[in-house]
Amino acid sequence: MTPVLRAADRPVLIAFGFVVLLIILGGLYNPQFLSAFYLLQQLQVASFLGIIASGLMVVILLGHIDLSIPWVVTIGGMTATAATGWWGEPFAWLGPLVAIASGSVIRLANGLGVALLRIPSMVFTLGMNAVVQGIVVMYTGANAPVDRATPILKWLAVHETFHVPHAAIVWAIFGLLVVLMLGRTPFGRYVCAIGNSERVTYPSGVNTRSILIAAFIASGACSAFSGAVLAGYAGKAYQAMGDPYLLPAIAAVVLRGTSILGESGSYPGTIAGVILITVLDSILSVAQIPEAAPQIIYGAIIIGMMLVYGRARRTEG
Amino acid sequence: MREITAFADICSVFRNGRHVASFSRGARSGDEIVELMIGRDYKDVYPDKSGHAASAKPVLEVKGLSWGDCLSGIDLTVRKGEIVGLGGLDGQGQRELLLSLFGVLRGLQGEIKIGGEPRSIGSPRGAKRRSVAMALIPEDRKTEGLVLPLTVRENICLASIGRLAPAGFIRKREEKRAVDEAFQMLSIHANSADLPVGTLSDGNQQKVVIAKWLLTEARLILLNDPTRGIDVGRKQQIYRLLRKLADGGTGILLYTTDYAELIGCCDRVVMLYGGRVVRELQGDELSESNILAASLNLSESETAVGEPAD
Amino acid sequence: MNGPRFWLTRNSGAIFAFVLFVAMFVIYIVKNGVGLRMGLVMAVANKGVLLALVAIAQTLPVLTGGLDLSVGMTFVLTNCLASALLNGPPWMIALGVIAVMLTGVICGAINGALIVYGRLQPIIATLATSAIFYGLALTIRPIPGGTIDPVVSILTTQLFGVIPTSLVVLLAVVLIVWVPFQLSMTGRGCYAVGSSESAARMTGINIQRSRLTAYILCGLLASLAGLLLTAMTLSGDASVSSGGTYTLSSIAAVVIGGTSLMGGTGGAIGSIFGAFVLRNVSDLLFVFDIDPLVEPFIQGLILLAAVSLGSVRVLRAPNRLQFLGVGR
Repeated sequence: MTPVLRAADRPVLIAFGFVVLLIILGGLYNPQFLSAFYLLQQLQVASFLGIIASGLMVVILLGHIDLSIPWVVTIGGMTATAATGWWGEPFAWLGPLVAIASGSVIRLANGLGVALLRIPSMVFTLGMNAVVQGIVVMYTGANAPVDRATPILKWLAVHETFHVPHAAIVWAIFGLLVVLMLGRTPFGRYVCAIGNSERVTYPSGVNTRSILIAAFIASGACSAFSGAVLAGYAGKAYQAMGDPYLLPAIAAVVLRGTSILGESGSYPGTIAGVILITVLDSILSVAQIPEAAPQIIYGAIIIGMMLVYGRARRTEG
Repeated sequence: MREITAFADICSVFRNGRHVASFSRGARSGDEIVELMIGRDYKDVYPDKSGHAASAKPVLEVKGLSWGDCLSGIDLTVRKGEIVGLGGLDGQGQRELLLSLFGVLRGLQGEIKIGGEPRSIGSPRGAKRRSVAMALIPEDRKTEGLVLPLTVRENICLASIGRLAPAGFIRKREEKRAVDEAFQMLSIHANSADLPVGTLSDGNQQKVVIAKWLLTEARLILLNDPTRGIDVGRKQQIYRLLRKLADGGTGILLYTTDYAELIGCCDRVVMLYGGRVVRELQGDELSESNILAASLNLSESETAVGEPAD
Repeated sequence: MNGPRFWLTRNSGAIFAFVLFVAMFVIYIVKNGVGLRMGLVMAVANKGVLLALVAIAQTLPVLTGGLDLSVGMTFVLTNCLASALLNGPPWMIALGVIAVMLTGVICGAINGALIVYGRLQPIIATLATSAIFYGLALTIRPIPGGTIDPVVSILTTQLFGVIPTSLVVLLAVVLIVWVPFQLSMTGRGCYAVGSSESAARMTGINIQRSRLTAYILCGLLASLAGLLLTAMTLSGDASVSSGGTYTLSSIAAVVIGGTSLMGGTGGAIGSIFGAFVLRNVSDLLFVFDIDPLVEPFIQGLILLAAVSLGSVRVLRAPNRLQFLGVGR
């Protein structure tokens, strides 16, 4: 293998190393950490973040970012449960599909703003987040939609097959799709090329606009679907349920060194990042560290990892 | 030229990035300066011209193409198997002409016919379509031609990856075959196709850019100063390749700032000045003095010189 | 390129924001039907000045082509810190005020250092620091509260019985901070960096100092807003939503005020009116009897509309390559 590949894989190894280290440390603190039950449970909790990060990774590879995650997750959870109220119990199975549709529509708007109007993605998605928040808050305030998780959502989130939680399986499916898409299709090639230089990709005869829009839609589908699964896990959908996921999702993607500048990236790294964050979170909560600490730690992790791997290349005139 | 003799006290001549000579005003005649500017040893570098393209069918016909203040009323024809040069001083609209043909510029006026059919090309993607099959080798390979951190393989296949994935998934074997072919055809020197393209030498990078477009099987290739900053040996390889492509029936439109290239490489040269075609030179008309005169728009009338584009 | 027409073109954003604000304010006053009362003016002024300060703060990094997503959290952090420090004898309060402003400077300096010396992208660096600032704020004040010397609330009264003190503070900030900054070498450098970093470097402008100063001043101004908030509410509150809202609104105010998010053009005056426009939205909702829950929706919509308006030129660009990201 070439030195380049090894350099790219190093962050992944470091991240997985940290996961193992953290679990062992946790095991020393409390032997239960090492039980299969605990580890599977961690996998289940990690899957919500993992599904969001799968989609976000594509957007970040493009050199963009999506700050509308919190309320897209929320609207995913809300619509997934509300579908029962709209069309009645027999159509409850439509919930996850409605969630995906709603997330896709919102991110379609993001994609249009970024790809056609060339508005910086962070600003447009930040504004979109507020708009979606407004819509959800208004709608909930006026209509009090059904927010109880339906059986199908519970089945997706907490049921198990051979002791493996379905949420983890869902994550695996999303992950597989992202890996296939990035590694084996022209779309994936274009994503990497645009992330590095849209200025080169567009004159190569690539419709970069539609690639950008498609990536935003895909990431919206991921976020909203994750919201639906989360609602199944929590038993109900509630406002601001997506708020805790923005920073960890970015941290997880950045952790592996999928640089925010949209360079080459590999999915295993994102998985490592997601698991690392989840385990860290769980250890912090078990060790009863106050709510403030995780915030500081996420911030420090993002900065630390970015300083090491993701340095913005100097733009020499 | 007139500005130089009117204003300059000391005159320095540069050619291909090298300082050739400096002299004070009046020390050399105009002809001598031109000789210095062109250089002497250009003849044997270039492959023989075939010369039988004059009667072939046109690939590209442009009528009255205008864009803003940059281009006005451009008429141009490129035939099958013909290398047409775009000449003139730097910045007379040559770049804009290439970009406008390739669908990058908005608000064009005039008619563009590809293979006899009128087409409106709205984007590079449209220019790449099989019905048009155009390619543009950009000027600055580092910012416009290549995605430097991506591998040689990914760069070579960037424009044609859609064809290598007929069912939606890239066929790795076909991709490898295409890349190997490109390596051979252009004799690209790289240890591996999986290295970032940024690690190659300038000449090899330029070959990768050309390879990227050859894989699209274009029948009309536009080149924007493809040999700038490349050593003489690699330049020669590129000239041979262009001639080989032309002999295979491809139409080529070559913009270059090197007069020797225009003379040595092209079957016909269209001279631009201030966004207009001022002269077309072919056969024996292709000489340094004619090109230089047309560049400065001297031939038409000494007094009625059009305003430069910028 | 001189004379009134040039001035109009250059300040069209600020003028637009000013006219919009005046129109909204007039509608508000007329619709409210109680006339131009002191209390009314005070309320509008106080709410507006708070956001205006944060918006001026945000203007500085934006001018350099960056962005500060931590400005809201710096504001919240300094509010919490002020709620813990501003009591006791006068010298203690004075010391507390200085400490709070110093904290703002440090927050800005951290951002600036990460961006200038660590060469991180402004968005990510400030998103990360905003989490850290929030964590710190939460540590200082896990639940809202704090005992604050009522003396501080002098900032929320009026001077000579007619002029709201908060407006005087705003004017002072403009005269003492913004005007000298804009005229200074460093301030000009910020504009230069924002419009073309390479050209600025070629001109010999100290890019690093300009950037760093922009973020430090941003932190300082956010801390002033934090102090003002403390004076108004007499408590500290580590609230995620308030930090997020202020960050969002500050960006919106900057955009409405005619400062380009690409950097290089605009100024603080436009941002001030942009802030007043945004703050007036909730008042208008109130007089038109619209559910206040709509507010985030409207604010987000205004932000999107403002940035979209500025981007219409993209759709008409003669060269399709013009707005594509160059390989970064």
